[in-house]
Amino acid sequence: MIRAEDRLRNTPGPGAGRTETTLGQGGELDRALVEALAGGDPAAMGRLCDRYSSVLFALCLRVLRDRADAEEVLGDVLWELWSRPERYDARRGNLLTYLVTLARSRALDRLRSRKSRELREATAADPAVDGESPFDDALLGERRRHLQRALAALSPEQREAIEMSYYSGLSHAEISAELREPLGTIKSRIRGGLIRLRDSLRTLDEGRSPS
Amino acid sequence: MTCDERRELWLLFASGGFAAEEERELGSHLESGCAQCAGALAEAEVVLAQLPVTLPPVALPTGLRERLVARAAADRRSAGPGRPARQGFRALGRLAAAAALALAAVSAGFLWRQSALESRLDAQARRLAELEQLADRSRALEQTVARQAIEIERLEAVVGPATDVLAIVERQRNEIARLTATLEKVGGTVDFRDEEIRRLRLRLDDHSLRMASYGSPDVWIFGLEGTAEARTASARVFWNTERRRWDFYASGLEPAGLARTYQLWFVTGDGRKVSAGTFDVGDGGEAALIDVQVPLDVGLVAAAAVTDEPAGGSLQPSGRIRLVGETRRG
Repeated sequence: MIRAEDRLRNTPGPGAGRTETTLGQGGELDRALVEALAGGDPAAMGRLCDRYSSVLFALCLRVLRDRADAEEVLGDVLWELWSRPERYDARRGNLLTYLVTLARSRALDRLRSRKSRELREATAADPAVDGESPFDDALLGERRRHLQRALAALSPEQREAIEMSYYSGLSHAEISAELREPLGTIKSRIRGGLIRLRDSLRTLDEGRSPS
Repeated sequence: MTCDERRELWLLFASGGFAAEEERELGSHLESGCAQCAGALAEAEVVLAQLPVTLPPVALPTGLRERLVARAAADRRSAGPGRPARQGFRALGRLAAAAALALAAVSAGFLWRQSALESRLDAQARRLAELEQLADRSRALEQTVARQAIEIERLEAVVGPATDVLAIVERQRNEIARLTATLEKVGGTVDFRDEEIRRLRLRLDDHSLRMASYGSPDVWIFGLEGTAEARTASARVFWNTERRRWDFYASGLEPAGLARTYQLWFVTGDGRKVSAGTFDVGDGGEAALIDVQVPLDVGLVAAAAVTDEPAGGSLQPSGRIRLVGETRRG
């Protein structure tokens, strides 16, 4: 199986980078940040935390449903970028994509090693929300709200299938078995939902209002 | 299957739910070097990476940031000055390595200061040990000379004065006088070093207590980022909400300029700006404002900013904004 993080290292970039998406408007900031990390500036680690730990921790916690595990994975991911910044290649994608892919992959690895399907199901309620701070709001701004609207616009079935695939790491066959729906239906739901998200993202990045 | 037909499959591929056989088929096509499909996959990964952005924010682990920064600082120290530059970053790596120690950067600033104090204490202790060794050697020489003088007097009593022996005694006496003068000087230096060490220890204790207080749940930790006017600058605020006091550390700031100073502002939820004090930067572009009282009438501070102002400060901000950030519970 090709791991997502291996793909990040091995595949060439998308060329024009139509979906140049970062938190805020940070392509340049990200480049400077990674260069500072590569130069061994400890303060850059702080800036990395400030910029990305919120999203990454929410992701790890959503996958793992355990704060201690999520914290450990988050720390590992951020430390990996500090230790091996050369693994991130800006030509292949933005820093958010790299870190999210790495964090998801690591969190799913840990989830699988825990063999905790029961835990996932038993604690299906969302973890405690701390409330969106003005800082987060400023950082993520319109992108978060836009994506939330786009996600909310999907059918419940599409959303459910995407979340089972993305956050629980289930294969299409496993989702099909769990939901008792044909495999082709599951694939269609995920593909259709992701295409709508992609189109919505393009709309945002091209500066037009969503239709 | 054509690349156009594969196009939408990359979204499914990136989400990782394919059976092994499907994944192998797409993976081998990718490895054949198809730029179109690689681009489609990269785009699919960007789309998927946006999903976590929609998650509701959660409380971040307490102290994780500080631990990672401290670990990075320790990693950097253990790697020595200018840790090996990585592929693609060599030039900037060298620059950053040179700058990092001088910066004592915002978030790491406090830890760096603590570490610098400890280093100075170590250096002082080493110097003190060297001085004490010198004093021991001087005392041993003095005793040797005294014993030789007694021996010479005993010999003179037996064989009478001898010129060469007297010359030796004279040289030994001169040596004793020199060593005595050195010892007196060393004694003064040791006293001075003792006082310096005592003073540094007090500062270290003060820093340790302050640092311990930053782990309190009452303390909010948040950052200020440099604006276009000060891209290299950043700052960190430790806000003790119970004591209503701020500790503010900044780095990467240029000198404010002739007859100018920097001024920190509390910004309230309704947009009022209240001065939190003025400060100037040190050689490394660092600055700190410690124990800044948040006035009772300010209420909840929503943001903070630093502007450059005429020397002495202003009643309201009039200069350029150099640092800005919104408060958050960290």
